[in-house]
Amino acid sequence: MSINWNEYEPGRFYDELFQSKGVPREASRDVFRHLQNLSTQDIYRRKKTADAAIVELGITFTVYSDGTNIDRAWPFDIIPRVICGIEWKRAEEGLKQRLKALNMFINDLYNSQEIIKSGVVPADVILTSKNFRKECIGMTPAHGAWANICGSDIVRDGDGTLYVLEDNLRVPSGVSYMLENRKITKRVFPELFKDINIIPVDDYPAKLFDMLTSIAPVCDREPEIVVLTPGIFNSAYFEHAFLAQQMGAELVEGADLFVDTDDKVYMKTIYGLTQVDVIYRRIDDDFLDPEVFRADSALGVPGLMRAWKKGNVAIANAPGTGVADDKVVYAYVPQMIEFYLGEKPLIPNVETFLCRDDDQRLYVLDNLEKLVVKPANESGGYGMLVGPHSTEEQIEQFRYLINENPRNYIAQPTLSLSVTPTLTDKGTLAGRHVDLRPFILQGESSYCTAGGLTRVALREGSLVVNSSQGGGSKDTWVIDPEEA
Amino acid sequence: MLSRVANRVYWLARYMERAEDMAKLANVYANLMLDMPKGTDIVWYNLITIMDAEESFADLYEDRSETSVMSYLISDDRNPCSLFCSLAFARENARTSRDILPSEAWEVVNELYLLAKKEKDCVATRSKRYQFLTQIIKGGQRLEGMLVSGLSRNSTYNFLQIGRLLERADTTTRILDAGSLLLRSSKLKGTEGIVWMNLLKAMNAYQMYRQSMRRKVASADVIDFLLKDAMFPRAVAYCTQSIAILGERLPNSAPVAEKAKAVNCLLEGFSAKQADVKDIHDFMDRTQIALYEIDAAIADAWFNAAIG
Repeated sequence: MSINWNEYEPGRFYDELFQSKGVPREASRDVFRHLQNLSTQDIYRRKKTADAAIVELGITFTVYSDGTNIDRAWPFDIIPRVICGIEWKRAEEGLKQRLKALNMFINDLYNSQEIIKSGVVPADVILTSKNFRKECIGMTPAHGAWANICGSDIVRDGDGTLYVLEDNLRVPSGVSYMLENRKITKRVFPELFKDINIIPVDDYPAKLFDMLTSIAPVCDREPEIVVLTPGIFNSAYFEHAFLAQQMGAELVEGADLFVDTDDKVYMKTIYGLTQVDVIYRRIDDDFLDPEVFRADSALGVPGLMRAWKKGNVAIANAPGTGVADDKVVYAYVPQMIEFYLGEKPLIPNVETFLCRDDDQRLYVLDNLEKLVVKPANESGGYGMLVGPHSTEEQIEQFRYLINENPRNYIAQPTLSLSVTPTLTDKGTLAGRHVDLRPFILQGESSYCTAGGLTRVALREGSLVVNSSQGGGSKDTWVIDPEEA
Repeated sequence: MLSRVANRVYWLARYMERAEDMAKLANVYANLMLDMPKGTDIVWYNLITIMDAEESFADLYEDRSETSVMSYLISDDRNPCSLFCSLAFARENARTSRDILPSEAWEVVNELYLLAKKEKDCVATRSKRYQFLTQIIKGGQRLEGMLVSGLSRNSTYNFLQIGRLLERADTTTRILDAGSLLLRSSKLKGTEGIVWMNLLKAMNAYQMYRQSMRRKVASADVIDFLLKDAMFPRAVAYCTQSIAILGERLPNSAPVAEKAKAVNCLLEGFSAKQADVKDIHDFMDRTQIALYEIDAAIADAWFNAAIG
């Protein structure tokens, strides 16, 4: 098998690297020129370098099976995904704009509910959301920011437009892999980093640390910041440990923390009790505080909500943020941007049909075989119907489910996700579908990663990018064409 | 340093030392069999006695044969003190402390656990058991070398060392107990030298003992050496003295140092020369209790931060 870039067929999808066969897009020109000059053997050798780096850096993801956890080496493709800097600048502004509006929305919901009073978002959408936490009513966290860390999923459709597919506002993960992917490609293609102006991503942990510092309650010392993990059995434990280490913060479990009668949070150290000011929590609301939420939670900290409501500790993301992580709420984000900011959205939503609306539901039920149907509150691709890839039986089951609980379902047209050249198992190049998860921070100010984590469906024709289901990832290079 | 993390590395070291010591003891015991005069029989069940495991053993096994004792002490996952369980616990502690240990440390512990899981049922065959246990011993030594040469002298290191030293001191008292129990049997009269030589070897102590005591191997000398020597790293006095010194590098260490010094005082006041087997057994018990008090002081000082 050999690799010939001029033989690569972009195919019928939008290709991220190529305009047409043998013709790279403007931002990819230099990358293409370099890659083209590499022999097949050279590419294979670099793939080996990448595999060795993954083992050496200990980059793993955890699969739970057979009662024990297995750390698997991170599936990674060495061919980078390139995004044009000019396009990215606009996307970045759009993502920050979106998170700002979402935060204003959450704060509004837990306070005066102007957006409901003015009829922009119907009241029942919120009141029926299981993630609306009445315990949070009346709260306004520092800088009005509830969702301090957001991981939005972005896809490119056949027409080349970038769309936001969903906003992950609860405990989005993947950022450590974005950082590790960059470390790997620096080893694999050092010469490209010398010649091409690839915007760095390494400052994320520092930005995260700054953001967390900016939301700390006022105190006369350096704030104590901790990362709260559910523990080693969580599939994202690698990331929790990684971020804690990168920020120089303690990685704590619920049992390490303790809320005293003064409603302050302390961690148990070999020096005794140390007060904690900011908690970057990587556990869901449900498990946060057994006094308030699930009483059987062994992962949380009894009294944490008390401490938070008194303003003695900042929690990122704030409890109750999940109310905006709902696919019905998602459909209203463009309206929110106009309502709160008086601006036009810079990045569009994917067209979304709400089954709670009678007319839209009729359309959905008539076109199930063409649409993707999603439950409003699930994440990770659970309980979805992909119309064109489904049997009649599955379609009928969703017809029933939608009629039973219309509020809980939305539908979207089936997108033709863009592809990008990827090294296959057979040692050839082929287009594989990709998405992108940038990470956006909001505290005192806003920040968005340059690019993000590109996930790739390694199997031919597959649209599934999850690492547990045969997905992999790539480094994402944001390149300015004029400087290239 | 978080108390939970300190607690985990402390127990990681204790469990690894426990596994390694068990492997040494089992190998030496088997070796001793071969050196004994015909017609004498060393009692495997003694090993259960010195581990204070009589009741738990009786619940699980009907006979006191070599096979039963070895499977109880080495491979039985129902015995939380078995070598296999020690490795399993060590592995869990290492797994959850990977971010603060040199990465090879986790790999060694994991390897040993997987080896034990695969090979543990070979304990019934003496030759296979010998090979398996030797691999465990070598793995333990590799880990220790790695930590000594690859870990900064930070709190993690201090807790690892303290855990290892405390476990080692406890093992030493149990091995001395084993020796004195063995020699109680009248059939073994005249084999004193061989018994002690083997037990010294179990603790890698034979050469050091020879260099320190230039006369024939005798019970009282061996016991005094392994209890009271200030230079030999497996002698109880050395271990507890080192614990006091390492403790001083950690905050609020006074109660731990006090308990460690109490052990040294206890040892000062004892001489094996005037003691019979029962005295020795009682003294080992007292020492073990004093060592346990160090453990409790460690937990109080560093693992259970005062609440409320």
